[in-house]
Amino acid sequence: MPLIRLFLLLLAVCGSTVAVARASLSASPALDADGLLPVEEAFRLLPATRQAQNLRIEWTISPGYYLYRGQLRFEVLTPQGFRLAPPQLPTGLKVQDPEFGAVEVYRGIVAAQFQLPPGLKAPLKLRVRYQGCADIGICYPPQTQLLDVPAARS
Amino acid sequence: MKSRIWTISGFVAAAALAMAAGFFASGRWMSGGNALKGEPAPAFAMTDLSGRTLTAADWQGKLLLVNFWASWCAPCIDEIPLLVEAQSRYAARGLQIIGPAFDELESIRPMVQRLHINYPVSANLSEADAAARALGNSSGGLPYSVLISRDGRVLRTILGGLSREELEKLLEQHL
Repeated sequence: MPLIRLFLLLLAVCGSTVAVARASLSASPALDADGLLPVEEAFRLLPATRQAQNLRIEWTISPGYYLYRGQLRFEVLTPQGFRLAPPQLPTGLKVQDPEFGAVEVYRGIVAAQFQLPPGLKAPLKLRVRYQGCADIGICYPPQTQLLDVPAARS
Repeated sequence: MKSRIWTISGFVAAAALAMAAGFFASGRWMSGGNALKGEPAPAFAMTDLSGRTLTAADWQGKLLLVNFWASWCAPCIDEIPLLVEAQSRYAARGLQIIGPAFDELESIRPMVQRLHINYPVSANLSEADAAARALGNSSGGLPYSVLISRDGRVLRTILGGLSREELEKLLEQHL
């Protein structure tokens, strides 16, 4: 009888280990054949949010990946002729790169915040550019994405 | 009684081994990206910095290492001195390296000079992107290298940089 119990216990341990491991894999976004996340999974650009005069553009960066602060670009497509003031960006992690010297990178969550002029109520269309790499020594080409910013609530 | 213990132990060990094998084969550990291995390399072209279009005919009979890179890619830049050295060392044995860059001409020219790149390089983003995709780079990650045999078959695709030892071993194996 103790043998059967031992057998059942071992099976349960094996089964739960596999279940937990599979759950952790399936919880992570899809991986390509090389184990590298697709760029849109590595750096998730969230919908822009606008509250009063504040505009917030946020990324969620997957663990093991980073964005370069110096590669963030923001351009207003509409309304035409409108230019954004420079964004408020958090201080990034300072990294000494043998090729590029001292650079700042972001991990985890990063948000760029803009102050919009009080008179601007119209929706905006932005072109956002960003570029980052994986810790395993692979970099993604610069990404360009269009973001719609809703009109200000009256 | 003893034989029963051995039977059950064996069964449990086999089950655990099978589960572990299934787990490791199911996820991140099933890497490779070498679906093209052994296949004829897809046709692609690149325009070098002097504006000349290079095609498969230009490297026929050579062991070809296509190294996709960019000026904004630190691991790519780290790898280039090794490629320059390999091109010098193995050219007489039939190695030809080419470097399509995901970049603009004005970013690439100074790098070619500074890094003393001694093999053809291109600076055409869309052309490099099309070639990289055709050669199996689904993620767009760099550096990405493809080794193509003298008879035009894909020997290996490599996402990420190579160390000196890895590069030498790879080239010695196929030259």
